[in-house]
Amino acid sequence: MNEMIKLENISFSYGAVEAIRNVSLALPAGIFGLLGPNGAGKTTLMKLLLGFLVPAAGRGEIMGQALAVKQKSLRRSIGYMPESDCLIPGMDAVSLTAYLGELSGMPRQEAMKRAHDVLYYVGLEESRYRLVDTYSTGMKQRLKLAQALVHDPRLLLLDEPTSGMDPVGRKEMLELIRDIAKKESMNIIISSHLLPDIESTCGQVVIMNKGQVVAEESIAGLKKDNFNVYEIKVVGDPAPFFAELRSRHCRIEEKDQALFHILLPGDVTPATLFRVAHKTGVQIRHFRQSRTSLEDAFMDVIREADGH
Amino acid sequence: MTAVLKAEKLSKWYGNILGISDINLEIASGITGLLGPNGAGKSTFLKIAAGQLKPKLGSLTLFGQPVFGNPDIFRRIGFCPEHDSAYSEMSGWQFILLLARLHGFDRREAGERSEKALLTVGLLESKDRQIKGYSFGMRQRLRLASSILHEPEILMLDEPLRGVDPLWRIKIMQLIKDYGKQGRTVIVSSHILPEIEAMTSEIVLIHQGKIFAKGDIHRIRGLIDSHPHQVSIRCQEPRRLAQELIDCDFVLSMDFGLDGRSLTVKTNQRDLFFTALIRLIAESGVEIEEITSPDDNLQAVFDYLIGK
Amino acid sequence: MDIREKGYRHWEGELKSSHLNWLPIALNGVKTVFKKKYAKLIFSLSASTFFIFLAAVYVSTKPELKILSELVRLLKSDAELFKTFYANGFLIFMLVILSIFSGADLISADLKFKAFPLYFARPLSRGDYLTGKFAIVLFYLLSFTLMPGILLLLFKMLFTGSLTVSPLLLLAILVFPVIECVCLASLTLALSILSPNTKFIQIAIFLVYMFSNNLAQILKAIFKSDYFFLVSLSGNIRQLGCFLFGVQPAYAFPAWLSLLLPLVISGLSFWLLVWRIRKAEAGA
Repeated sequence: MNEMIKLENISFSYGAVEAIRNVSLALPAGIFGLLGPNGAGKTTLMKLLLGFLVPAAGRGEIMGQALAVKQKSLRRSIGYMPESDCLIPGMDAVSLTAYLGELSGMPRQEAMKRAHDVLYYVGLEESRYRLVDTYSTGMKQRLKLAQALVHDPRLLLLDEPTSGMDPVGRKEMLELIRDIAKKESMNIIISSHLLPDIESTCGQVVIMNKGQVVAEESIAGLKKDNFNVYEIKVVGDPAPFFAELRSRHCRIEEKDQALFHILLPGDVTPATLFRVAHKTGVQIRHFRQSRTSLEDAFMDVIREADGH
Repeated sequence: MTAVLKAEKLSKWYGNILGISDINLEIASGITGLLGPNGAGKSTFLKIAAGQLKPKLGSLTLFGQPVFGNPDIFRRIGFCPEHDSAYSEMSGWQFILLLARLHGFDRREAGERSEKALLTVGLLESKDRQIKGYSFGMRQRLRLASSILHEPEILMLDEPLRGVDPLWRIKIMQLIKDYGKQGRTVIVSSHILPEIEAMTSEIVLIHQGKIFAKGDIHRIRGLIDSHPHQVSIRCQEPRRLAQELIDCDFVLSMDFGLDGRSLTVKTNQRDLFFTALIRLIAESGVEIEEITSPDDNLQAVFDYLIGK
Repeated sequence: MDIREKGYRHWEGELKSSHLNWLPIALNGVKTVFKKKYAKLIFSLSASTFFIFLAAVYVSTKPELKILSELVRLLKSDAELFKTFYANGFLIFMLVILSIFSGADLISADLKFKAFPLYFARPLSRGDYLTGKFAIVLFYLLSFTLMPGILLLLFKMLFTGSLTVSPLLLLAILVFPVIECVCLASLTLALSILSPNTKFIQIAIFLVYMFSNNLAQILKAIFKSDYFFLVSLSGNIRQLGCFLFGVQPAYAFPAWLSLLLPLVISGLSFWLLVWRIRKAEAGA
């Protein structure tokens, strides 16, 4: 079975409002970011994958099992980290995680052992005996990840995993996700509004807009290289440096935050840049081929999809 | 630099709970990012600056005037709070119009300003829908609209982009950048460090109720002696470069990347290092793909100053 | 030994599918209720009538004892004994308290704290969820009705030394609490799914009990018809007891109506639960 997720012509409406229209998708194993403006259908898609909603039309398969038919067995291999502030009150973290593990089909004692393991893993070891009602936002997020992992699913669905977390928590959560992703046979779909998060964890993205999938591509593929354009930052008096470059027909543009874009004509190589820098006594402290940012690539995709 | 906001020995606590302690700060026009872990005191500081809380000790002035109990100055301040607080039975339009009228604008001008504000945040089409039907991101944008309604000179935004989709995140960040360029003062508090970086390089870092750092990100980074700067060079022959650099005593350590195509150097004398590097590249003709400073960014500053 | 691998580890076990998916929910819920504040108090009060009746049964076999003679005289026949036990006002009151205590927050807490995404991401059907929750309330209600009933019967047989019991009586002893408890439990759960505000549900259940009684009495006083006691919770239970135990009906209306009514209420409650739970799962 090559594809992790295969959807054919899936449609779903909430009453009169069409949320997802004729969506077909074939995702191989791996880590995918799910992006899109509000109302694009991302949440609906996730709910369809989990079996919370049944498609009005179309068929699908997740890891070889038919969608909406084999839902119970599918849920055994899926772990879901919801976005909403959800909780089962009155329990401590270990009990809650073990309880949910049991409900997934684990024998009670195995669930308990595994609950401790995953709570250690997500960094809640010191607070795992505390009532979850007392948890901070960051701790609740980690708990949600733990309960998604307790039954060792093959597919993880993460909905806004860093929501509400402070910079320390965000960094650690993203590190956890990257670490999980390294494990073979772990597949992850991350739905997020934060492009930096997606960029630091996923290699590929699915972009939705107005109920349709408008792009299914690797991030590297989306971010096109600007041929012969380089971004640089310099320290030292740039005037003679730029003057010399201009005399060789280079085009120089100032972007913000002391960043410059330099367009090199065909006969000028990057090596020349360094020679000229050395000659004019300027330090090049940042040098890289210019690529469209994920933000710009995303906006281009959406604009194109909207028909502008 | 003429300070727009000036805090002197500013302290606030709630019973036993510390908010902020002995804050001395000056903020000038332009965009300043306010960051810190959860519970650091950012919201307390912003609320005092917006006149919502009274300082316990010390003072905070805007344009030389105290804020608390000074309703006249509210004409010049726009505050976008973190938490939801709108009359959900009203429509978006009614709510914004109400606020505009409360600002003292006459009927016609209130209508014009309301329309403009709603257009700017993309809520014009949904203006007649009840607020309780708004999604989280829409409510956030509504709050933002209410703070820019009267085009204030000072804008204080507490997590303005929470729940906002990628499309509108990009647009609102651009809006904030434009405000900064117009010479207004914007103070943005956020946990999403890459977004702060995209908007400004001036930051104030609050932790444990105190200011841990203030100023330009890169200058702050330069001042952190305990963590020498990393410079990462991607090229075809990293070891050749390394050979030349190994004798320099300002090179503290060298690390070859796992794929054998990069060299990461640690140095605490960047000036000497980069001069030597550029000379080396120019003279040896080694083809360079990238030069970057992996830890010359806000996340690193944050980690080094706050992280454990 | 090699070094333990760092980072995320897979779990080597196998997930079992089971027909008893709902059992963990039930067990967990029963434990949670047991640990609540005032649990011991409520349980003691609920068990108190059992102990009084137990003493009465004992005394009835020892005519030389003069205590509880009033009660003993009342309980001449077996049927009268069990019917009075099951349908006594205090027990009914405690059953309502038990329903509130063990059942009011079962689904409304999940609504309030949005636990549904966590539950339904599991291989759990809506039926499993409802069955598990239902079992929690049913467990506690039956523990203070059916179980004491059976124990009373056993102790009576022990004290009187005779093992004979009429099959109809036995049937009544078993069936009556089951109908009563199923009805109460389903009503409690149905109310619990209506609102995330637990206090509201608790008050609602109590009001149903109190209000229904008072309303029945007022209507009876105005219109002079016993049929109004169909509206009263305790009235119905009393009448049902009379019907099942073949004793003189307490009120002047066909006693089988009191059998029908709880079944209808249970049915409606189940329907409401099934309807609302679908919404909860989809909105999860």
